[in-house]
Amino acid sequence: MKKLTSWLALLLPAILVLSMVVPALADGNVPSPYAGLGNPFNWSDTTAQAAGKQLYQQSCAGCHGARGNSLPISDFSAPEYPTRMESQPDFYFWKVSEGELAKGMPPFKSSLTEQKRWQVLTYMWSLGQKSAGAAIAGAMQDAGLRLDMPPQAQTGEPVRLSAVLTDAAGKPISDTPVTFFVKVDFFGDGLAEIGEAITDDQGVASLEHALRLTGEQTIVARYGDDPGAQTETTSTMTLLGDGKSLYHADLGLHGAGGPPDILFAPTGSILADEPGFAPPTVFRIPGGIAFFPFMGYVAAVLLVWVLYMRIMYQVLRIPVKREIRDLDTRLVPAAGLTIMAVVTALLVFILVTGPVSHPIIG
Amino acid sequence: MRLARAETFPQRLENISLAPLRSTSQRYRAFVILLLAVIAWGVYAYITQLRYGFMMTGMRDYVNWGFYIFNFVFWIGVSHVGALISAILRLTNAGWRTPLTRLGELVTVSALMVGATMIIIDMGRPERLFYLLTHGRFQSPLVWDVIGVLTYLTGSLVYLYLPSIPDFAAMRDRMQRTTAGIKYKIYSLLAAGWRGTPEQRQRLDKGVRIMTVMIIPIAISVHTVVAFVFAMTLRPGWDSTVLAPNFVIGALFSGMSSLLVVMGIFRKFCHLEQYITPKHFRYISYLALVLLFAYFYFVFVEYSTVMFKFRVEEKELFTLLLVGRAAPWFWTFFTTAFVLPAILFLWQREPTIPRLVTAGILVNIGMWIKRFVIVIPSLEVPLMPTGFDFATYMPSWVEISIVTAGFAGFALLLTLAAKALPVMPFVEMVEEHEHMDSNHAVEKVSVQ
Repeated sequence: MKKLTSWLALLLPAILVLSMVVPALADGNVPSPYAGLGNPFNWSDTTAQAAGKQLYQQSCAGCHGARGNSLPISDFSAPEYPTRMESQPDFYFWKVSEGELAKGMPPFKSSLTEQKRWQVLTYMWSLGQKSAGAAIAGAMQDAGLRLDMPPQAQTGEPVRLSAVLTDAAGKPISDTPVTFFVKVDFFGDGLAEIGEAITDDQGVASLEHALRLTGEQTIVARYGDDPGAQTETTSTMTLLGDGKSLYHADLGLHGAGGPPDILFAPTGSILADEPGFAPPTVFRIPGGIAFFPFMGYVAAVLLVWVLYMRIMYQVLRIPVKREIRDLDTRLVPAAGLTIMAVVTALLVFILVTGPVSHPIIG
Repeated sequence: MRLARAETFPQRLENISLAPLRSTSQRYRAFVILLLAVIAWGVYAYITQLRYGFMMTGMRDYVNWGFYIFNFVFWIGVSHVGALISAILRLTNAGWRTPLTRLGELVTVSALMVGATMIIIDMGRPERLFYLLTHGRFQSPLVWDVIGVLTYLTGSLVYLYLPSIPDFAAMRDRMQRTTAGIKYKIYSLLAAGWRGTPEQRQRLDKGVRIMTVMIIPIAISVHTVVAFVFAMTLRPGWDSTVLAPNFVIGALFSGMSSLLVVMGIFRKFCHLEQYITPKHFRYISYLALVLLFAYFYFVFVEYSTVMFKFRVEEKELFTLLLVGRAAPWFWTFFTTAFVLPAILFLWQREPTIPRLVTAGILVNIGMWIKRFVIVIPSLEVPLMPTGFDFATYMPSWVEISIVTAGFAGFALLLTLAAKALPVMPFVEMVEEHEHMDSNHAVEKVSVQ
């Protein structure tokens, strides 16, 4: 036994140490096959940049922003970025290809060819170049912004919002991001951002968005980063729809047959949606197909507890009545029986009462 | 214990079974005081938690289920020993299990009580338990969980009580001579007027037989609904169709191993060497070995079906678990729950009992770690893609104190139970012994 314990004393720590060494195969520098790769394009190649721009706006702008500065951890518009990209292109190519899921960056090696990935990187290089210039590019003052959108639309259907950006002289301003908002009332008034688009050569920034609201909604388009020098324009749109939330929590199985829903509830409480109040407790037995599994479950629980009570009743019959003198030996079984009856009632009560947390369907 | 004259088997058995109830040693008192001290510190930790909120624990917005939940799962798992020993073995008429049934049921009841306490401790506002009655939704796995655990606890208490009635009656009869006042009253009430008449026997047997058959599906359903609390979510690592049988088999496995440990302890301290023999340990270890392979099979099936196709989030989880930050935990579980106990169970080396009790302890450590591995790494994997880092979880002193107090509470319940009822169903054992003797006598006669 002592030998065994000493073996264990050696073995366990050894295994523990080994299992801690395994994860130490951590990340180091750029792994192969990415190490040492270089950009096949010239960094200032405008064709590659244009192709990369398309791909960037499609695949990257969602998280990184139209100008690459949405995520502070990787600000491509920073002036030092182009130099960094030139000095270690293999690192950035690795990141785009393999991603870094722990930080939320998806891999693109399966969805973009190598050429496309280098084009995107070339465009990203140009973002850093541009920021030095674009921020100062005049036309900040007195820029004109016009919002074009249909006056009416169907709730939940995509709608095209267009903003036309012109400078003081009426010339279109291209390659500039415009942000779109919708006014919402959600614990207070405010603007909810619905997207960002970059103006093209005609100065038009276009966003397709499906609005999940009804009634008259106010859309705002805004241009300019500096809060002190922003241009905004507002327009309203009427959204047609049926006033119910677009997402229905589909409860239960819908099939033909089955008994109807049994519901005892105070009137008006069913769809009560007052904030700050819990939905009221109602007595409910679901109808339709859900009736059968529900009643099956109630029946199983009831069966078990009825059997418990039957057993306790058997124990209650154990003491012989005429032998009982000063101590009533039926006390323990009787108490047990009473407790069981109460708990059974409570459990069935839990099952058949409950808040109506989903609207009644059907 | 020096005996002036030779005792018959029934007398000896009764003396040993009732010895703990007759006198209390200093060692016992000291142990109880130690346990109470640990529990008192746990109560202080809980009061701190109630006062300052869950900031005192290590749980935050990502890892919002920590020590308490996985200890709850662990204790419910341990509680399955009663279903196996008392019920399944009784159904299969395995006569060797009789000395162990009382211990098995005691472990079940104590484990269930500690497990249920863990859940209530995990509630930041425990008074809201009342809302479970008024607002409990029947669609919720948590409601099923409450109903299941309550049903199993009641069933186990009934199943503990029923076979103890003849023992309580024997104690009442012994006590009549000394008229110990309140104790006599309590045991008389508990004995429910048992006289051992055939009619009474029939009633009791009927009750026990119904319970035996019923408690097996109840036990399975309890750990199934505990598994449903995880399996009905969409989380990687939890959203697994095989989680429910995985949990049930794991529960039976850790229950058997806990029984090995408890048997070893009670055998030593209550001098049950003659009645709980190495044979009992071996048989329990065979059951535990079968369950070890069964549980290994389920873990293997679960992991390999996920690893074959590796969804993104599941890849992150399994990287974390098998080679990442949680790897030491996983591989320690693997070693202490599978590898080492298998070696100890299969390596038929004397002395049997220390070897098997060590295996039981190792399995319990391993299964405790496995519950940790099920709950916490899954919560650490970020499910939002953009810029979210892996969460970390570090238990605070509050959680560690309360969980340790849970273990102390379990030990205390068993220790106090040893003073309240005999740890072996000696009346039943005497009857079995006489039955066997008469069988042998019949054989002898028939051979001649």
